[in-house]
Amino acid sequence: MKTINTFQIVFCCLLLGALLISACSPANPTQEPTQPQATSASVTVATEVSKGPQPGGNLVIGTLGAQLTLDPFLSPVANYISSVVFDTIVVAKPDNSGFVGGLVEDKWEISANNMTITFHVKPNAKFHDGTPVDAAALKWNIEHYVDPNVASPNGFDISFALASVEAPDASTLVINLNSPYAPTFIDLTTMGIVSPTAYQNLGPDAFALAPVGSGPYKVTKIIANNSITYERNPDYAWAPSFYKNQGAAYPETMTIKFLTDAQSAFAAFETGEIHIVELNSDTVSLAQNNNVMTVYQGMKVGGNYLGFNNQFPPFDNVGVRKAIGYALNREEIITAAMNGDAQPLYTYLPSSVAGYSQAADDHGKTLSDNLEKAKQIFTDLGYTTGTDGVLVSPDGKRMEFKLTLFDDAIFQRTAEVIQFQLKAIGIKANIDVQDASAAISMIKAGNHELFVWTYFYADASILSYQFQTGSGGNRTFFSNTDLDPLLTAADAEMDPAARNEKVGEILIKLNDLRPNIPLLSPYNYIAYRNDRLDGIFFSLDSSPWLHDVFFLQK
Amino acid sequence: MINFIIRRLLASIVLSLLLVAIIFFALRILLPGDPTQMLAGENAPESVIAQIRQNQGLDRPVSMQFLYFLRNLSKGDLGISIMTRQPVFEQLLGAMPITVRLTLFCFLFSMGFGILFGVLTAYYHDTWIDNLIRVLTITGSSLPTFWLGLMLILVFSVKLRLFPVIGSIEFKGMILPVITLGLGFATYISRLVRASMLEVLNSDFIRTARAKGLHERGVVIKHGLRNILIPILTVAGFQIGGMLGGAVITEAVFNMPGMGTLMINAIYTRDYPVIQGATLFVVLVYFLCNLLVDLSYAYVDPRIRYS
Repeated sequence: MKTINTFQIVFCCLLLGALLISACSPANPTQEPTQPQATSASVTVATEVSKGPQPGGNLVIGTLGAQLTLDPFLSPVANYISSVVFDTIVVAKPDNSGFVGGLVEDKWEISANNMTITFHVKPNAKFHDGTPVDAAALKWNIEHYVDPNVASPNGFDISFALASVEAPDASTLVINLNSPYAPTFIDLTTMGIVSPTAYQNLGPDAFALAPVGSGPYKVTKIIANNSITYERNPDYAWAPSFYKNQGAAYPETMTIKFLTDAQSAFAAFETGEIHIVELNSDTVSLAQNNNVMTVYQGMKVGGNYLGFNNQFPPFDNVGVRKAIGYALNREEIITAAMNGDAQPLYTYLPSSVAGYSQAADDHGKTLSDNLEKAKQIFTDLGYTTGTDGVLVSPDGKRMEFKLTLFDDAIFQRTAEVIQFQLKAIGIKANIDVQDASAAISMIKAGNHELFVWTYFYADASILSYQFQTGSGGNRTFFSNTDLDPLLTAADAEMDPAARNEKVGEILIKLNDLRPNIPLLSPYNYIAYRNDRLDGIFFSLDSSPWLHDVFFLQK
Repeated sequence: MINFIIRRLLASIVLSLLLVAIIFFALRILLPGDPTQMLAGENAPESVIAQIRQNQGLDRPVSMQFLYFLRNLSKGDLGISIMTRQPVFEQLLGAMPITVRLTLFCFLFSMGFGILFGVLTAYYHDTWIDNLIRVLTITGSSLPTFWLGLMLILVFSVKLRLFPVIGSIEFKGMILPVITLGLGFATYISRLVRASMLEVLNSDFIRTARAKGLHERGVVIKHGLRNILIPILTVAGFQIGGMLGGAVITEAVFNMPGMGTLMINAIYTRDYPVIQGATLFVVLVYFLCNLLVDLSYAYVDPRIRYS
């Protein structure tokens, strides 16, 4: 027994014990005033002397979610991950107040009949493979996007309106429409422009691994579902005009990390392994309390709603839909389900989308949060209350429905609050949680009753998509012959002010028709390390604009 | 021995892989959800979704897809990821080193600590050392992996800045993930070793060895430990499967680009080629590890012969 050293045994045990005890300690470093690294970082901020933008550094961005293909023709998402590689023909201004040129000059001409748009291609722009960005290249891209065989998620919308594309000379691009179509510009912002030469030589699959665009960064390495590494394009000199920096990007390299866990993503942000990170509701307050972190609160360009299947009774009755609208309390939903991280939505567009109308929002508010009014409507419609407290329709049917949603924690909490609120007026909602793609399939097939759903799109044409009779995106199967021509007219209005006016009228009409009940528009949060970076700004939906970003010099 | 290996490879591994592939394709029929919907985006019209389905070969009957899969598999081609357009085999090759290294280190960690503490608690049974280690092992086995991972990050990465938050294939980036994944397994092995050792240490042959004046360390390690290795090896073989499963959570917590992360994202996006490729890979590794364990029996116990 003496051969085993007792001291060593005790030491090993103590070491393990210390490990466990320290692991169990309720550490919350961001709220810890004496946390040495945070203090050190604060001092760094105080003594930071910016010498202005200087090239250099590796910008690391953490994003929560899976990586998608970098082939812009096939990817359903067009965001900063792809836009640093692929420029677009036009770019939406960060404040969503209109559009500026991307690969074209800021000035373009729209014909008197609003069916022809003439763009002037910026001179000297080149793809990463050295081929010129000319009108012919842009024409090839647009035609590839609308090719039905390609089935591009970013091309189908404009394909319905596009008549032809012309490139009469290297610097002139002409888009001919079948009829005036205002969403043309927002559609062009989602179409990343690739080098036709590279795409045709490589083919789609190889191109996705070695994408060639004309953007400020070139892809150097892709680790599937983990990271994309970029190096800056030193020749870049055609940034959108709202950037101060009209030359090459400042950071030498950039890495986007696809992260799966929000808490550890925030921890990496805290230690400085990541400079910009998307936050969720659990981490936002931690970032707000840390003075080396600047948090930007944006709003989703869309909203969450309670939908009905308008094809079938009782939801084909506008009175029933209105009564349900009165029964819902959005503030309560936002507090209980979203920890306050959303703006109540009383009409069919959020304030982050052009066309939003305060008047429509105010009008929608008068049709909400009134339990007595909801009960009164059901009484007037002849509904009675059964012995179990559930309403019974005049034809004897119980008001008990399936409330479908997809497997998202926020949606589940939202559904639970709605379930509680509907119970107060005698409607029994049975929550039915489905996998996301299964829920979409089910709702598209019309096999639903009530559902909690969401939409997002940075243009008012989302209204046509959602509510036009027969539209592929009409999840509520709503149809109104008075509304349809108004939606078409708004989409055809090329003058932004006139279009906003028309959209405002549509919103008021929708408030009265109640095809669904708008609930809220969630906030998006993103944070950056202000002790390391400067020059960053954000869109209304919190998308970062990176071309002015530079590292602070000590 | 060679015959045994060939038989096992054919009987267990090939048949099991085929069975797993059949089950996977059968589940695809039963499970709701459509990857083309995810790829097209929620707003895409049916015509676009149908075209994508055709472009991806998903419009063919599942039985045909299965035959195509088998044909391609025989050529070593696992297909192309629906979401990233990268060859699945390349994705697996990229993710494999992280998971293999994580699992291997975790195995060594759990076996090392498990056997050490198991032997100590058995040798000093019913003493304060036994009680202390038992409390620690019960605590260790009770901690949920994701919680332990986050706590280790908070303490050792955020507070003490000793290790990176984001795990990597480098040694420093592996330490916290290995502890996170291995602690539970180590405590399990420790309890197993303790129970087996207590039985062995009270055996007649141990008493005889001591009576012959053998060195105590030799008695415990050479005679005691060697006699409990077979049950431990058997459990360890199964533990590897658990470690591969546990790696999914650990890799997610530490944002490591391993098989777990690959599978989570693939499952979420219904990226069938990646899911089936990764599943087959995990099954293959699991069976190979168990084959190795079976083969190691002969080394541990010379009486065992394979025919």
